[in-house]
Amino acid sequence: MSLNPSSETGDLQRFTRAYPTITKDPAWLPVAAWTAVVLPLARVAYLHVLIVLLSLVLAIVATVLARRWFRRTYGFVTPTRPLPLLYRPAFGIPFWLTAIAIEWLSRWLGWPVHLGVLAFSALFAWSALASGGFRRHLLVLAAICAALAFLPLLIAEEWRQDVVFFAAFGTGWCIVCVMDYRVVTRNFAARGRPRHGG
Amino acid sequence: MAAEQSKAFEDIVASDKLIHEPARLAVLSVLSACESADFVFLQRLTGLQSGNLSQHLAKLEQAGLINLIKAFNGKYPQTTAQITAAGRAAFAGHWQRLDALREAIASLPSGERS
Repeated sequence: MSLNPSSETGDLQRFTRAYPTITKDPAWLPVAAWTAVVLPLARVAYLHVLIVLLSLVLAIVATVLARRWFRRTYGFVTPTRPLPLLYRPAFGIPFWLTAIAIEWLSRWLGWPVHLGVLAFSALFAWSALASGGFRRHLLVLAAICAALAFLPLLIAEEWRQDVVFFAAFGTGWCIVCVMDYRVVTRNFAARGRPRHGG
Repeated sequence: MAAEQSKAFEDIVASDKLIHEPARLAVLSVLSACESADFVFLQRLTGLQSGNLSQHLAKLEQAGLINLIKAFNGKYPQTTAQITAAGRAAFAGHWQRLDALREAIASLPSGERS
């Protein structure tokens, strides 16, 4: 095993710091796919509520199993405290409340823009920039959310807005899950080629 | 000037072989960037075989640079490694020595470097 001290150990540290956040999403792929497929279908084809709920339960069970598999296969890292601002509950909870409040306000005022979705777009863009280059693909989700915020300007019927919203957001989320997984496997493949000696 | 260079080169000889070994340096780099990491993660990242990684971790633990926490998650054994304060200081000190050495080499006239 050979190390270039200036670059490789720095890369190891950067990847280790980013790892806890990169590994949060991949296991959520079944729920993301459920959002992209079942929710739009439910609006278009009027699926029975039991089918929707049953498929959600299956997606959640698949997510729990995927999380376990991921943890056992790739291991886990406990991040150094204090966590970055973006991942602290003291930031997350007020952010959610604010996003819901401004979304409600924009609907109440009858504005044709979903301000809450726009806030999430900004959050995803910030997360992408703060990830040290590991999660640049979050910009895709940020762009999708930015476009979805202006959906009422493009589509008049509410049910059609819902179909496009869930299909586009779910697809964006699926992309993030797959790309996060790819970042993890590619980094392990690049750094962790099996070695016998030390 | 010559005395500084001489000291830097003495540092090479005296450099901590326990830390300087590439696999252990990689493990300490990873552990210095987090609270703790489990065995599987370290193995994936270093590419070492499990027996080999175990030996390196045992050496670091014996030297008091890391703590190994062995537990069970259900029926699966789980080993977690955590860098100690002494480990952090030794790791930082090692990099300072390497930096000093790099500066000493950079200050040599070009003819003397080769």
